[in-house]
Amino acid sequence: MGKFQQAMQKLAEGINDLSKLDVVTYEGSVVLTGGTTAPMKFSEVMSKALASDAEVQAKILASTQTSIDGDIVAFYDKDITNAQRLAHEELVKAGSESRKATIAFVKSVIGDAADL
Amino acid sequence: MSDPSFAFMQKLGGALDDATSKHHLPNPAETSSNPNQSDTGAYIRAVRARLIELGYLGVGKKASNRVKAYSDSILIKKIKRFQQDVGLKVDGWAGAKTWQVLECLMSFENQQTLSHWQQVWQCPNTLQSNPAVMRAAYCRLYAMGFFADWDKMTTRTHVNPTINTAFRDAILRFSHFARRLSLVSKECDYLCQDLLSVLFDYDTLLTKLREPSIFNAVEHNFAQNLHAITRIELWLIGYDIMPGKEQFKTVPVRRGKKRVKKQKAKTLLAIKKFCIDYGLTYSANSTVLELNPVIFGALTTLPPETDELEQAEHSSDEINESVAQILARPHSRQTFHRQFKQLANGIFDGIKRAARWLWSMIKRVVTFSREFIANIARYVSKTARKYYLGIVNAFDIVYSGLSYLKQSVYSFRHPPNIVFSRDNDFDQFCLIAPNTSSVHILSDVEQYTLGTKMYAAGIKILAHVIKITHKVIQSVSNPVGWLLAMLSLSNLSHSIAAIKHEIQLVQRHELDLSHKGALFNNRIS
Repeated sequence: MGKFQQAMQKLAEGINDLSKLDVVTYEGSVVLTGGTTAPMKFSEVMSKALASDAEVQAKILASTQTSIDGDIVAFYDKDITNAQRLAHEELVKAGSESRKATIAFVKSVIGDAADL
Repeated sequence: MSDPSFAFMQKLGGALDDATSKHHLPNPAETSSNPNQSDTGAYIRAVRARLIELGYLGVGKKASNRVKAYSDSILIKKIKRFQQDVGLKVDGWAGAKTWQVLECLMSFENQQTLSHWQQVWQCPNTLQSNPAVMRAAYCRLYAMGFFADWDKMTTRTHVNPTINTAFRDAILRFSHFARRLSLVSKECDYLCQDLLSVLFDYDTLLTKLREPSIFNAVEHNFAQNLHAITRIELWLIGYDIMPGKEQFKTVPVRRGKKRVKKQKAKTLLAIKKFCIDYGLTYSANSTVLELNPVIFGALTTLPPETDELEQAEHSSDEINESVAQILARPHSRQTFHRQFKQLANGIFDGIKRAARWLWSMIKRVVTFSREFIANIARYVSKTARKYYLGIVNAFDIVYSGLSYLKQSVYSFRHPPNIVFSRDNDFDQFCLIAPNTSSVHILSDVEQYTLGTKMYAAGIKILAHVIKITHKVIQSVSNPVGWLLAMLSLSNLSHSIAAIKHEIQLVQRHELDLSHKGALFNNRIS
């Protein structure tokens, strides 16, 4: 199996669920002990927050769920600032662009890569 | 491009450079002002030979007829001079038009008439004073032996009859000859229109020599010229002889019991062979060349008419009977054996000539193909190389963009007051510390979304590169190899244009290179 073929397969496996896009913005105090560049699981951070861990206290500022068929469900906290709102909207846009580019990529090259 | 996934691109670039350095592919960076570069070596050699015959090029060391003659600046200069003389476009390129005019002036083979020249060449009205035409006339008079000091002549410099007395005398002598042949009404020592027509209308001149009364009128006074004309004709029909002065061949002869070597005139040897081949009587022991109207008749009526061939057909029984009668007589048998040996030699000689011709044709085709392909490759590699640098830049972006996938959590400050995260399905999460200023929030968001943009651009570029690579790999597995690979690269201009578009989009963004957590350590250029 060629390297590109392997890469394509890995990428395809990595993209498990592209039908929905969830973007959530939280406000909370953060203490990261693993260093700024070390990989860490954001889910672990959030699970600590949701468990009211002493290290992480967070509340949801905004949440947006976009379906692939175009449905959008959005929630914004009443205390959200303009900067926080803009940051959330940028993240929605970034997630949407990444997902769109990935789908187009898989569609366009998976056929070529399979022949390698 | 340190990622091993992209090593094939490095190999591609390396192979291109290697092929260029070994001259398998031309260097696209090199510029050439040589208009004859696309012509084959064989063709240029033929052009050079004709320019040498016309006296435009000398026969010195510099002007030797080399295969790589197209790189000779002297040749281009002389072609330009010839083009200027004959009234063609002066560009130094020995194209079809230049070749056609050279053939008009130099060929003995195709009947040349001034009216024919007007059709193919649109030659100037003042032909008789045209420098190129004068050179061609000089060359013809030389080949036909009309110069008084023919045996001593080595080079020719001035071809204008007003300043070259030898040339003027040769013209006068030719006009005597033409008048004896009843082809002109008066004699002159300059190239008038009528004389020029006779000089180049070689076939008419030859036909006149078939008439006994006319032949007798020129036989004694113009023997040298008749010999020279005979050499031209024998050369044209493939005998081992060259036009111009008499040449000699060393042949073994029996003197008593000894075999000694003796010099014999090639014209005599060739004419004897010609007479045997065409069934004419010629004394085998003759040591002097004796021409007659019958020989000129045979020379001008080749090949035999179809009717003659049909009349000459005999049944195999008749032939066998004739052969048996001949072989019964010892003297005839000896003659038959000698003639049969000569015939066999002739056939073998013909086969050798045919093989040599075939070989030269193959060489010409190979040379042409190689140079034709080299010219295509030159163009293709130039185009491909132009895009190649773009592809290298694109890979920087792709590599940086794909690193976006590797990290799951981003923060751009220490201590981190904003944390970003992305799942495999591109769900986005952001955690903002309380009291973080809006300037910091917007700055970090911009930094994070730049990575996203880089990813989107990189993945689009990657799609195009994979498409190109796919074509290239398909091509290089072909016997034609790199040439098709280059063609594939250059033909995918659409994909490359799309890649360039993505690069431009990404390059518009400013990157914070000073930040220690920045994704990019090198500026993309």
